Order: sequence, then structure tokens, then C-alpha cells
Amino acid sequence: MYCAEHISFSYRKKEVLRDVSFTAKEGDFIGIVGKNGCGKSTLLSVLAGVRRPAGGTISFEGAPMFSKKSIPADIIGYVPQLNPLLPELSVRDNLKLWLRNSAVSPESLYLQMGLTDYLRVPVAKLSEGLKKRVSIASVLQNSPKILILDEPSAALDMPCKEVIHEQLQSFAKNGGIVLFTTHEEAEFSLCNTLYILKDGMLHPAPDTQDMHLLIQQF
Amino acid sequence: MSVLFFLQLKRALRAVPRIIAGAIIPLFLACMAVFFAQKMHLQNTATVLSPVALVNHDSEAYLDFILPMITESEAAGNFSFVKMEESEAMEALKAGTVCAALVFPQNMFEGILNAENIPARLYLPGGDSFPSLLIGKFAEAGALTLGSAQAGIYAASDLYYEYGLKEHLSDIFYDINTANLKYALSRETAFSVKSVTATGELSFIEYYGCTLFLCLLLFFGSGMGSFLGTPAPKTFSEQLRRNGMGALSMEFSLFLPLFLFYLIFTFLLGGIASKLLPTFTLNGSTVLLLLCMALCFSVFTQLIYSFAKNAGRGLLLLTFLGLLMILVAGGFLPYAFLPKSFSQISAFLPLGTCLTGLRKAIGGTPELWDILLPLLHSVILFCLLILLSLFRRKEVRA
Repeated sequence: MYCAEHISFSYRKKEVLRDVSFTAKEGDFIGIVGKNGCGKSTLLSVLAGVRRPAGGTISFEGAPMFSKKSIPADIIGYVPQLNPLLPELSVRDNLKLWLRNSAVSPESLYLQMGLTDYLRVPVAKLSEGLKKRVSIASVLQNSPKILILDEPSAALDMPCKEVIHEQLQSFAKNGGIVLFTTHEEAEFSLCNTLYILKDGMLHPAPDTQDMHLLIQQF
Repeated sequence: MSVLFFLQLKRALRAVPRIIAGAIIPLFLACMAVFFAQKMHLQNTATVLSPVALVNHDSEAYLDFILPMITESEAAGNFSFVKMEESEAMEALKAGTVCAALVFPQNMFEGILNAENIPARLYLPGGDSFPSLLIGKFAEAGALTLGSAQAGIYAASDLYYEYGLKEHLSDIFYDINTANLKYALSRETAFSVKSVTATGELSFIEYYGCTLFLCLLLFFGSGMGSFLGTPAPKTFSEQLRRNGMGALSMEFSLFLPLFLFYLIFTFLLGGIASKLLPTFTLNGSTVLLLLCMALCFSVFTQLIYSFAKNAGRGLLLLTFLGLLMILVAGGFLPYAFLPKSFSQISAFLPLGTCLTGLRKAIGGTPELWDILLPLLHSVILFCLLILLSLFRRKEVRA
């Protein structure tokens, strides 16, 4: 169980998050939607431990998160909006950089993600879709319990989106928690829980199939 | 950190051909600057050759023997003597086409022999121009030389008088005069001829070789720095921080490969220099100096790129500051052509101390202080780098 309670965060005097609370259990596929600049990326970075919240607590299986200097890569995997990759290095080198347990061989994951043929190719030569796949693989190879993704399918073509969606669904089916932000209407259907971030607060989205109505809400 | 260090190293290795290619254009420009500076320097030396009007009213036979000895002597090498009539010489002096007029009056040389002493007249234009001052000093020295010759002649004459040989004196006048004048004029050889150049003890090739050495390091380093010195993208460093890597460790993982590359390149250039310049040997103190130079360059590069935050700004700032430091340290023009304060300022500049140390190493053996200064600068810059990293970390947190 991943639990965030009364989270608040401010950029200097500007309050971005106010009393954000939610709970996620194993197998949850949670989407967060909201207007540009409403604080979605900030919320994810706080939940991933990149930024420290001004108030509130975050816990996993009852134990408080982020009390230590580093965040265990086998608990939370975070894929930011901009890929954290070194463009001059090959795909394999980039993946090696983020691999925590070198005893584990993640070759099967690379195969599933369609990266096997690109392992020797410098990241600079890859398409945006492949770069995103590399970013996701770099966190999945550590077998985290929670996967946090900031707009994983932004500006990608349909085949790329499908590969990523399949991978995320498979991760959730295997008991992982997926938490991601999106603007894509098609991705709403992937989620079992959808939240709207508005005025710094997280609101559960109404249970509706009318996507236009939902979009109007934020 | 070790994985990141090796990957950064690998990343930089892949970039080496591109960096060397990128360094060629600025290096070419630096070579041009060095070439024109050297050209300008040589041109200035040549302009010292100044014309002097020579007016002779004396009909003495010895003059044909004495005059070429004076005009063609090495000491008078900066002057070209032009024979003129007195009125013509005065006009030329007024017009400024000659820097002095030297007039030998009638019976001057006979007067020297019989103690009548009719002095030669030297006309100098007003002011204190360098050629005029030089000819004034030259004439003064010439008078002293002739004075000593005259004293020799008098001493010989006195001796003949003393021993009652006065009637034989006219028989040996020619021999005495010749011997004494020869003695007096050959005194020039007693003064060692030493060429003094603005580059000091170093030849032009050695002097500008040092500048080229530093320019090569600078341009190679600025290219390498744009890969390694530039702080990692925000998302990348955030991920590293999530993985428990601190700001200092991140700086180190970038700094270590940079230092390694500088070290290899410095010793490569040092090796080439030792083959080309016989005075430059890779002994203990030189190796230590090169090590300190590599360290100084790496910390300086890292600090500039870290301060500039992005590769383009860092490249511009490093190139500008580096070339400025080399200029102030007399890399393009020797100190003789620069304001006096430049030589004092260069001791406070990281690249200035490197250039001075290198010149000492090429001129002989660097002293301990020449090695310690770049090291001291490295330590100071390193402290600044740590402070900057800590400041940046606070900024990110805020």
C-alpha cells in the first residue's frame, strides 16, 4: 500500500500543492490529469522523492518513505518528462548507469521493450519513442513496486504508445502500482483510478464515460 | 559513482575526434595572433636603424683608416652614417630625416696628437627620442675611447722626452699613433656582445612555443569541458540525487575524467616539446610542473563550465578568459610591449602562472615556486568549485 497524506508543496511563496492525499494498492493504475502548469509534474516529483514536501507524509507498506538520503530503486521507479539519458552513450551504457543490482540480467526486459536491436546504438540516434522506452526500461530493470511516469506518451506515435501501454499494463497486472500524468484522452481508459489536480488539490474524477465532460472539469 | 566515472570517460573518449576538430579553428586563429605578434616585434626592432649625418672638415690621412672602424663597428650597428656637407646636415637635422649630425672639425685628429684637443661636434635634435639618446651615449663612449688612446700617446711621448730621445720622436710618430689607436679601438672587443631580446633568455621559437602549448591545452580543454564540465541536465542530476549521489560526487564524476584527459594531453605535448626543444627535458621537476598545470587547467575549466551552467556560455567564457590570461602573461606580446602592471598581475592568474612555469622549464629547470604557484591556484579554484556546488545545491533545494 502506497499512501500519501496531506502533502503540501510551495515554490517560494507560490503554493502548488495543498493537502494532497491518496492511497494506491497493488495493481492500481492511477492517472492524474489537469491543466498545464497546475502542478502535476511537481506532484509526481514529490511522490518520487525528487522534491521534499513542505508538509505531509508518504509511506509504503506502513513505513515512511524518503527518510534516507537515497530512494531504493526497487521500491519507486521514476520516469521524468525529459529523459534522463546521456545522448553520446549507447543504450546499454545508459541502462547500466541506472541498474542498481548488477547481478540481475534484464535482457528479457530489453527484449520485451523492443530494445535488443538498439543496445549498441547511441541514444542521440534514437527516435523519441525509443528514448522513452529506454527511460522506462532503465527503471523497470530494478523491478520497482511503484512506477511513477510523467507524461510517458507525450509526442509519441501510435505504435510507440502501444508498446509503452502494454508494458505498463503488464507491470500493473503483476502487482505493481502505476502512477502517471497524461493529457491523452485515450489513456484515461487504462486507469482504474483517475484524479484531477485543480488549484493544488487532488480530486477523484467522476465515474463517467463521457470524456468531454471530464475534460471540461479540468 | 565509479560507474558514472567510467561512463563519463567513455562519453568523452567518443567525443575526442570532434573536440580536436573543433579546436583546429581557434588554434589556427591563435597561431595567426602569435605570428603577427612576432612579426610586429621584429618590425619594431628594425625601425631602430637611424640615419646619422657625418660631416668631415678634416683632411687627415688616418681618417680613412679610423672612420670605417667607427661606422662599421658592431656598437654602431643601429645607425647608418651618411656623409654630408655641414649645411646639408643641419637642414636634414631640422627636417628630422637624421637623428644626429656628427661634425669632425679641421685638424681634429692632428689636435688629438698634439694635445690641442679640438672636439668633434655632435648636434642632436631637441626632445629625448630613443635614437638621439642612443647616439648621445655612443658619442660619450667614443670620446672616452679616444681619450684613452690620447693618454697612451702622451705617455709614449713623455717617455721619449724623459730619456732624451725628443729628436727621434718624429721618426716613430706613425708607429705610436697606429699602435695606440689600434689599441684604443680594439678595446671594443673587451666588451662582450650580447643580444638582448624582449623574450628574455628564450628564443622566439621557445617563447611562442610556450604560448602555443597553452593555447593547445586551452582549446582542447574547452571542447572537452563542454562535454564533461557542463553540469548534467536537470532531470539527469535529479535522478542521480534520488540514487543517493551528492552534488560533490557529481562534480567529481565529471572532474576526474576531465583531469585524466588534461593529464594525457599535457604529457603528450610535453613529450613533443622535449623532442623539438633541446633545452626542455622531462625531469622530475618538469614532470611535477606538468602535473600541476594539468590540475590547474582541469579545475579552472570545471569551475568556468559549472559557473556558466551551459556548454555555449562555458565555451565562450573559458576561451575569452583563457586568452586574456595568456595575453596578460605576455603570451602574444612580450612584457616589453605591455604595461608594466601586466607582469605583476600574471602571478595572480592561473594560466599566467602555468605559462611562467613552462617558460622556466623550457629555459632550464623550474624552481619550486614555479611549480607551487599553479598548484596553489588549483587549490583556490577547487575551493571555489566546492563552494559553487554547495551554493547550487542550496539553490535547487530552495
